[in-house]
Amino acid sequence: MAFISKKKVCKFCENKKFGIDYKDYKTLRRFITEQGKIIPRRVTGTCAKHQRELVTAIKRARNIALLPYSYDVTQN
Amino acid sequence: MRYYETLFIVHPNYEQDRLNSVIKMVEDRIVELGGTILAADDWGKRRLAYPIEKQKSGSYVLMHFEANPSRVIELQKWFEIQAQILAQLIVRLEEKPTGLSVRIKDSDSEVEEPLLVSPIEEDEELDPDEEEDYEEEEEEEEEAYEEKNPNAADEVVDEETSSKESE
Repeated sequence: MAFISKKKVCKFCENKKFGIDYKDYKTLRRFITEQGKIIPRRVTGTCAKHQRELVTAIKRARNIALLPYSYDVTQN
Repeated sequence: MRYYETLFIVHPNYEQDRLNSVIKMVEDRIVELGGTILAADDWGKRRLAYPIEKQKSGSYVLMHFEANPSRVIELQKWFEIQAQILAQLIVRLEEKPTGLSVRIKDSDSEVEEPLLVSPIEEDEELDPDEEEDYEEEEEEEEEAYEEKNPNAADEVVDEETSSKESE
């Protein structure tokens, strides 16, 4: 995995108004898969610093039941 | 004295009066431990992402306060003892909290979302393409990687066979 595909820009670097907050489950939800797993940054194009903040925010949100740890994928 | 934020979940069967008394109890406890309350906000009942203590929903309460760091651990232990508080999270804040701004965003979304939408349905509406893209990209990248280094495995095998032959 030697490159970041499609030259995506980090959504948080681009628009500084989007602070990363564990309470903001609406934004955080876009960074987890259908199964509830965290999407790697080579897919979302997030920069390293924001990915680290994002991961701690997602883990906190999971802790307080704003996001799930996993979904049962029974429909596939 | 540092700034903290705590978000805790109260048992859903507590109606507003009892909920307010629980909030008051938490505030009193914080003051007992030498802190000061900066703000408190009740988000109301929300569906939980996974069942806690067999409950599927709960009342979320957000509170900002200022306290001594050594007493915060006692507060956390006290929270865990309370039967009516299902879960809690205490976070240290970098700077003085200006307002409960995330609450405003959430209140808009809570009006839109019905409480009984199952998570699997929601995700199918939002992220079906993203999940497919993720799998496709992973395959593409794996193929590209193999193309760049097709002979890596072969070289290792050659060295091993050649070393055996020399011996």
